[in-house]
Amino acid sequence: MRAILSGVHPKKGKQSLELELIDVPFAVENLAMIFMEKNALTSLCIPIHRRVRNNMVRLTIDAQKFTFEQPGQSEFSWEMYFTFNVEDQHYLLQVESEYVSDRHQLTLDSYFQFNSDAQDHALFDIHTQQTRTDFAINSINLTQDGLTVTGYSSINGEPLVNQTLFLENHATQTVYQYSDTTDLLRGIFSITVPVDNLTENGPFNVYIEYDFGQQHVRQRVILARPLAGQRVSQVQSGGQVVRISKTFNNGIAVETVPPVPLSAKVAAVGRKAGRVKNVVHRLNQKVNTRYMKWLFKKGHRPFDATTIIFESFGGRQVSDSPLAIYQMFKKLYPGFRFIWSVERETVPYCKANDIPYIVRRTTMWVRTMEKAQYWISNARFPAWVKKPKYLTYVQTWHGTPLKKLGLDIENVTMPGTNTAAYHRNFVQEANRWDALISPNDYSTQIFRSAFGFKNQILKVGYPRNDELINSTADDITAIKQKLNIPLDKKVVMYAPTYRDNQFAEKGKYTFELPFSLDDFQQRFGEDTVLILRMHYLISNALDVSAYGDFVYDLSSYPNISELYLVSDLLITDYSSVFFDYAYLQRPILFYPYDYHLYKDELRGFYLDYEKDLPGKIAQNEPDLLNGVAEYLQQPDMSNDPKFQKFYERFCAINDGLASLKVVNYVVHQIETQH
Amino acid sequence: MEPAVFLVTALADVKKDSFGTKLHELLDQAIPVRIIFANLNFVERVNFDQLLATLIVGHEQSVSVASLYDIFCHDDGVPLGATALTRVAHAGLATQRHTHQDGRYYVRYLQNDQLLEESHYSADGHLFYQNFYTDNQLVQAVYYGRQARPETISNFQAGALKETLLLNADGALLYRFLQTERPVQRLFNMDNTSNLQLTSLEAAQPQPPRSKRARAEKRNTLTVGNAPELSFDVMDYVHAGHFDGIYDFYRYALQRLDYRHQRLYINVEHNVALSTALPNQLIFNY
Repeated sequence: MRAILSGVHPKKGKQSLELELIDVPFAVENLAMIFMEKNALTSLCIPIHRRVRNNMVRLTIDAQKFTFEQPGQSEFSWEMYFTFNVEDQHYLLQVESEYVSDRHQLTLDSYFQFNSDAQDHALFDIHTQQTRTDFAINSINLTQDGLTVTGYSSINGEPLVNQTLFLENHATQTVYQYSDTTDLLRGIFSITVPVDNLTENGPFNVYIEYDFGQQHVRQRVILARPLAGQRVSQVQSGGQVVRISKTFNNGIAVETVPPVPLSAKVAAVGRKAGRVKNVVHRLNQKVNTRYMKWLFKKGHRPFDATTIIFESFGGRQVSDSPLAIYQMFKKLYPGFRFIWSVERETVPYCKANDIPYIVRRTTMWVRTMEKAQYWISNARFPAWVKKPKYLTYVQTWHGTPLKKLGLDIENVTMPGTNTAAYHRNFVQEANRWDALISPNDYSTQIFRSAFGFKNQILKVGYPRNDELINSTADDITAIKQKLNIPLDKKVVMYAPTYRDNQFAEKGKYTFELPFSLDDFQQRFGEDTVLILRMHYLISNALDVSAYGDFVYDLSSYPNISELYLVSDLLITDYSSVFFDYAYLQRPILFYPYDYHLYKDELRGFYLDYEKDLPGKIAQNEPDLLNGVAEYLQQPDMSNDPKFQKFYERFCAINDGLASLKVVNYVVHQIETQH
Repeated sequence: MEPAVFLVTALADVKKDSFGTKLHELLDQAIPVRIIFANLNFVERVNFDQLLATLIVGHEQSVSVASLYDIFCHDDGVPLGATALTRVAHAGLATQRHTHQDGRYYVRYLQNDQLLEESHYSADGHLFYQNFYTDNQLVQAVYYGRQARPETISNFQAGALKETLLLNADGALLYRFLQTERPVQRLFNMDNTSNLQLTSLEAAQPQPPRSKRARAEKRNTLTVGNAPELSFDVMDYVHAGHFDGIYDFYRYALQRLDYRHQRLYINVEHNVALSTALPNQLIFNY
């Protein structure tokens, strides 16, 4: 017996919902739909009076009634349940749906969407308190005719009129304006901007103005989803190319670039050859994985000498807690055998630093992994890496969780897996870990629920943070000298989260910082330097050469702890780096410049972003600069009550002995097994 | 935010973690809360008051409690039959008195080894409720509350509550709540992540399908709960009207309080039954 949401139709500012009923008896009574809001556990029952045909029912809802005042809540996600009686039998069917509607603007600052959860059940999602300054368009494309933008021509049934599109170049103050609106479909308008006559290269930012009721509205044009599927470049008659790209906060930038010279065309051929090489590489990987699986299945016997394998981030680095534990082992028990499992790209680093290694995905690697007695890793191994019975696997994990993990993710949207498979793999892998390191009770609780983990949890703190606790002023001076940072200047570190939408295609766009380096330098440049710690893709696209000895791009510096140590202030957004930095009891400023776009994802956070953070939240650029000025005067946060509350919750294990405790745990295992 | 009303229909409601959490969310915002104590075993009111007192320390002024008696006590009813109230002549009976640590006490009346009556008093000597016994089994409980006259009479059979009579301020009968037990079948198809669970039917809790095939099959499968349902029929002596079960009566009681302008909180376990009785009403669950 099933109830399926088969259609949603706007009707005079309300929504008409159609349900298709399968195997539902005919003589039913008291038909109703119960909506249940997932976060606040609030319900609303709408009786159903209308049965269109035998297997179809229809009800009308007013979306405005599905929001309510609740502190800290601006997102409403409603599940739907269809209920009815047949004499003494009560039926309750959760409504199914695989349908995801487009966003329907409800007011200037709210919209709703019909959605589908991981189990294909229907969801009615309403997003309120959105910014009033943005206008989300449906599509943007470059064609022979110019730049075509489409968008909804009404807000909850009330029409938008006199839509005018503006292309504005902030540098030169040039503005182009177009208002030839056509109806693409009923309810969707389309404006085409001829781009042949743009006299400047840009970039131009795109704005829209329209009349709505009694209001004249001006908004920035945004595209909430990636540019994938849109036509983003067009060669003009003069040979120059017009391009559209997305800015850091989902805005649209239009620019023209001069005709492509021959040398660049030749280089493009080279890139194409590179793509072919990538395909061959992926094919090789597949064959290799099959071979590895076969090798792992063969029986092995342990080495005579106790052998410990270390791995960090799947072999891409020699870093993090495994490195701290390795260094402690080397000092105290150099008689054991230590080997790092690394990817080929990490080999030069190992050679340069005299680190014993074995290259992943080789015959020797399988043999060594299977004959070792201990694995110490900060991330998961693939499921096909077989764990021998005699082996102890210590998982250090790589951070206090901020974003939801494993089983706590209700809806997994990663390519190549589904929610059920992802959950199953997570639990299977986690229960191969004999011990899991936890930095605090908060993490312990999450690890148990998110990983379905039932084995030993070692709440000893993160070994990688020992360095933060144990370093002295002399150590910090030495690091500054190594990095060429003037000793008389204060250091601000900016470490934002990497956002998937920042790059439609690798290396194609120039990254824009969400604040002006000029303003920053003008205000603080005299006695402060700025360290940038970005994702490597962004770092590659960033040009800070004009800022000489003011900006230090240390995105690829191997040890982030050393960067924490030299910084007097951390600026971040949604990255979990602040859990570690808080050990230093120095100020942390949060700058979530695209908070309203990120809010949906914040529901997938374990912390309440607005309440639980240990520092101030800057909503805009002036706030950011004022926050920096204030915090640079307050280098020590140990007397700040909010910070201390956070510190006690997350950094309570601050004896700097985490590596030693893990080493002792392993040594105890070794002693009891011999 | 509008004032809040919590409907409590059993002592277990107050013991839920989420009851305290939601209550505190409101009190922390200085929102006045009214609790409707609609438990038909009125004698449990004493335990309810104690539990509530521990939950609202520091917010006593923001919380008020109304019982069904408080809501209906000025309605007109029908005179109570002469035998409706049990009477025990105290002359010649042995008495025993026991005082609790907080000063409350009760007096037992015994005829040889047979317990006939137990009268419970507050520390200031106010009669709270009386229990009457036949063959040492509880047969009637009369609840006085803060009144000098009975508010409710509950009759028991073999120690189990069978009916409760709600009286008005003049001692006339307003409503009779008759406990019934009938087989009810509940059929539902939900996943374990769904928020609306029929939690009273623990044995029938749905399990997540393990494989893709099981998931596909599950769509047509209903989980069936067959537990006999304890409920109350309501006899109306005020309007000679008809209530369609206890939830319809709860709706009527809430209506008397003009619930539409207040934020209504109920136990989520009663959600399906109560929300269908209160269509188009936003209900906050605990």
